[in-house]
Amino acid sequence: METKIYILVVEDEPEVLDAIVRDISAFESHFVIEMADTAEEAREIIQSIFDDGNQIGLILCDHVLPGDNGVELLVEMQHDPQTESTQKVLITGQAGLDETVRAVNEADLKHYIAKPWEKEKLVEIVKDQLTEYVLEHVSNPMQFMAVLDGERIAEQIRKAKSVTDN
Amino acid sequence: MSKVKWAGLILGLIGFCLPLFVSFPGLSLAGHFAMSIFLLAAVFWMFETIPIYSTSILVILAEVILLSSQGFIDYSSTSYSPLSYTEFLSTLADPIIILFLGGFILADASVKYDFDKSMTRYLLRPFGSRTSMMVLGLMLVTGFLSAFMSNTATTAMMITVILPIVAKMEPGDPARIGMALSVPFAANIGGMATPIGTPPNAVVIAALNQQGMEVEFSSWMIYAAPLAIVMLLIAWQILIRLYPPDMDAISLNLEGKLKTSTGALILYATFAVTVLLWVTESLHGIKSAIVALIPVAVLTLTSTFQKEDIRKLPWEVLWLIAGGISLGIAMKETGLAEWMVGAISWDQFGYLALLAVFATVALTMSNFLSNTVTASLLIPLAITLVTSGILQGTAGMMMIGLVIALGSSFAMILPISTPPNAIAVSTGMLKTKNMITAGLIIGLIGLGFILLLSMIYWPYLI
Amino acid sequence: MSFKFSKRWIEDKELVTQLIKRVFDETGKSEKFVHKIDKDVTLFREGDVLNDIYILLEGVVVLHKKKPKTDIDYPVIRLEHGSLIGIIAFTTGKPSLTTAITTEPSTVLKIPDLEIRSLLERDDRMKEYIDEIILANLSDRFKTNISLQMKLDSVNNKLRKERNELKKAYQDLKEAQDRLIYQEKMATLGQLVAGFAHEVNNPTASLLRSTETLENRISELMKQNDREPDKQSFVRSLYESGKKSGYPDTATLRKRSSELRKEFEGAKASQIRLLAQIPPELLSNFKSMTNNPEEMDIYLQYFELGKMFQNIESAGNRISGLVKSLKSYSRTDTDKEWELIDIREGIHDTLQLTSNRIKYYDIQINLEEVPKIRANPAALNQVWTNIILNAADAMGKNGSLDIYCTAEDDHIRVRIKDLGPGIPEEIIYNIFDSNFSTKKSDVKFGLGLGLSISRDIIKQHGGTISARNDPDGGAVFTVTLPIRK
Repeated sequence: METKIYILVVEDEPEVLDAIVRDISAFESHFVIEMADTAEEAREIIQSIFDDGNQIGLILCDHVLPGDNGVELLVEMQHDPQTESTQKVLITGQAGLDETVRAVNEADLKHYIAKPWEKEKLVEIVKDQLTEYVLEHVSNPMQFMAVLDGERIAEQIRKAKSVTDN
Repeated sequence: MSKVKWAGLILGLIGFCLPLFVSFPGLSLAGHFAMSIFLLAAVFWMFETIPIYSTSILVILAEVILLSSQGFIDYSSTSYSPLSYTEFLSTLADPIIILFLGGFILADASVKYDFDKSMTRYLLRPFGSRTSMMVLGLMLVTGFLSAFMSNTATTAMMITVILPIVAKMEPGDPARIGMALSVPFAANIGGMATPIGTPPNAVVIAALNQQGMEVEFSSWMIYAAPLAIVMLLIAWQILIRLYPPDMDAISLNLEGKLKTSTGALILYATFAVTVLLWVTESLHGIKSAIVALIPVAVLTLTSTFQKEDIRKLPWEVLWLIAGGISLGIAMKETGLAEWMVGAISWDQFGYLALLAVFATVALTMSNFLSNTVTASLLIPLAITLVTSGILQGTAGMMMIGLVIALGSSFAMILPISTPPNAIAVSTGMLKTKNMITAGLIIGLIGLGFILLLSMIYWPYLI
Repeated sequence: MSFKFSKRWIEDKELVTQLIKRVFDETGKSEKFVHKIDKDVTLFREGDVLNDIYILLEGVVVLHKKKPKTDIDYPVIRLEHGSLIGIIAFTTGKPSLTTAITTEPSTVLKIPDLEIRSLLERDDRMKEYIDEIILANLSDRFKTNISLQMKLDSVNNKLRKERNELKKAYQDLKEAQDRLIYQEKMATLGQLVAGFAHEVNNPTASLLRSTETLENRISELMKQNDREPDKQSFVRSLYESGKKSGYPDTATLRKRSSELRKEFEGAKASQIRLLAQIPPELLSNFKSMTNNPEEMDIYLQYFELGKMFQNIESAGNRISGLVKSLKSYSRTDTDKEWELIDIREGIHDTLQLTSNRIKYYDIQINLEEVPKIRANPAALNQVWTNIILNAADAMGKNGSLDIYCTAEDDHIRVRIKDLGPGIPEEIIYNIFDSNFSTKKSDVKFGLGLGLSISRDIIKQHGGTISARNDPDGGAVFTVTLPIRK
């Protein structure tokens, strides 16, 4: 079953959105990157991704958005069985302690990146989160070894015997 | 389902039905049914319409239904005396299967207690830090481990070892490619050395057993291990020359100790005892399959290996082997193999040429198909060569068996040729074209070597 | 019960005492029982069991009581001649409650228990005298008690008043301290802002200037590049369009991308994303490159080059603008605090700096032309900031702000209205009080002083500030400032 795994980036400032996507474009060899500038648009995209039978591996979300804010979107996603497994990361300059705590407690936030970010750090975090997703939700993670954490995936193959001699 | 699989499904069904509607002169009724099964299996295996182990079970099922005395076909008026269905079913517990089961438990337990990893670290130390020596070390250790463990698991483990090394190299350093290739190649080659090294060996040995020929664990090693060792060295040299390293020396962190928990210690002891008993089979005479039950018993009764671990054993590989064995039985008993062999006039071929042909066919097929499937399809034909007198006696049988088993393992050309190849390519450290080049060279040299051994080495031992 | 002696006897202890003395003298017993004692002598201690009765004939004896938990004797009653000392102890037989010490040389009649009995038996008069004395003493004590109570009461009242005054003084002090801290904080902040603005202006300037130079050089380089003329102009136009490209919103981008995906099969996702931002007239040149992704990448890079310059320029300008607003807001670049200013500037600066909080609000700004007034711009900005941030807190993420100012006769009126829940009736009269706050811990201008400081600032300007709830919903703050030059 060739389902595609998506990375969703939600950010209302276009220059910043462009910069994030540019920084993680290396992952496009194996994943599909989608962009949204409001929580509402993100919801539409999420629905169409699932309607096509694909999955969302990671969401990189800003907090300050017009309309519903990022943390609310993430909490919503956590309560929806379809998007519960998506790795959720906040990338923002503006979330207070209360909101961040809420994201951690109610949205299973995996990581918080403060703006401005360093490209290497961002790439590392994305690689890490996608590796976790893939190891848990893809039966044959081998195909992602080139772009994700090869060691972890190889170790998984070794221990879980997802690939065997034939 | 993809187009390829659909094509496979349709072709397979056509193949199955063909002998039911077309009559082949000289082939018995049972032979026709056997051909149906053979064609179905071959196509399904080739196109992977259904998982290959599934096809194997399908083979057994079809045989029971069509070729057994409990099946639907009445053979009372033919020359074929149908086998009891138990003959087909019992391939699932053939001694070779048990032998492999023992091997699997030892291998999986080694992974569980990180024995393979600790052994690797230990064995790599004497090789120093010069890049070329390190590659040699990697290949020898990989080869050694894969002789006793699954090639795939060994490859996966070795990849985790070399990833940190490769990360320190410059992106354009050819040694990255060299190192990435060395692992699957060494795993494939190493698997040839012992009966339990890789599943094709199982199918071949079982087929030989069917002919009354017992192959001792140590005997196989004497025949095949030299090939493996020499080919490892040759492959090493080829890779070093094709992909000379930019950096002369690299450091590798070989920290790590052997686990010393009770379970681990029991494992080490069991492993040692089992291998010792296997290797000395000629001295004490206890069959290797029987010995194989020792680790199964000991590891499970000491809870070193538990229920969850047992569930995770690669049972489907055992089914795959069983399917191959039972196909061989069917082809032999129904006379299909003889008929197929008889279709070609082999006496034109010299003895060596015959071996060469089968070796080449095995090598070629296994690059595109599963090695085990290749062996399963070829060995019944090859053995029939001997039984029909074209090749001589027990020596001939052993040699053709070796040729097919070893030829099937030399599949180094494509990522799809073997799972270790696929893993190596997935890491992104090398491109397919790198593998094709190196694999072709090594494969051809291996072919040559097999023929060489069959001329100057095996005849004097068997 | 009637007393033999008239009332005056009870009040005139002197007389009674003399009589008793005389009785003793007559009976010849006086020497035995009359004792002359020096001052500072202890007759009996607290806790002693008394077997004698003491009658003070001359001098002064003070009764002491130990202060609880200490060893200090505290004087409680002063007894003069005619007093019975240790009545209670004697009559009840319980240990004495006090310690009796002479404070002057005194004469005391100390009669042992047994003697009293025999004396009483022998002489009827004695009994009466003693009764009289006891009664006199007791009523004396009683009188003293009452007057002491009354004194106590008035002392308590005084204390209570004083305590209240002290409390209030403490509150006032605390407030003054808070205000001082706040001012201190603002002063420090002001200094930091000045330093920051100054510092960041330098790299910003350098950024913008270098970018300009860079841009020039790249243009030159592109001209000189050895390229076929039509490819050359293609490259140039890609670059130029990159500089002007802006950013279409994601929905448009998505739509365009999916259209282009069909036209440019085989192109990578990152390439499609760029192609989607290139004006359609330039896309035709790319069609011929569909089978050559490396070539496509090279040309797309020129477009990206232009985009990057646009980014840098716009970002640099934004920083510049923010810093200007910050400086203007805090007025740290002038020495004078009070200037002739157009208050509308300050309102704009404030909106610019709080834009992050209010950027998704529906904002109506209607600032009519107003004359310049002499004012403290930094302080006024604090007021606008305070009101706007309060409104933002009340409204959360969606809301609207209506800011209006106009000149009326001799003053300027500024009105800021929000569409929040309004100010609760019960507190609307207290919001300008110091230390009044409904905010929780997440305060920046907090301490509950915001509005009260705002009121102080407006008062300093001679103006007024008021708040009310609008009938349509939301709160309205009105500030009037007299037009002073």
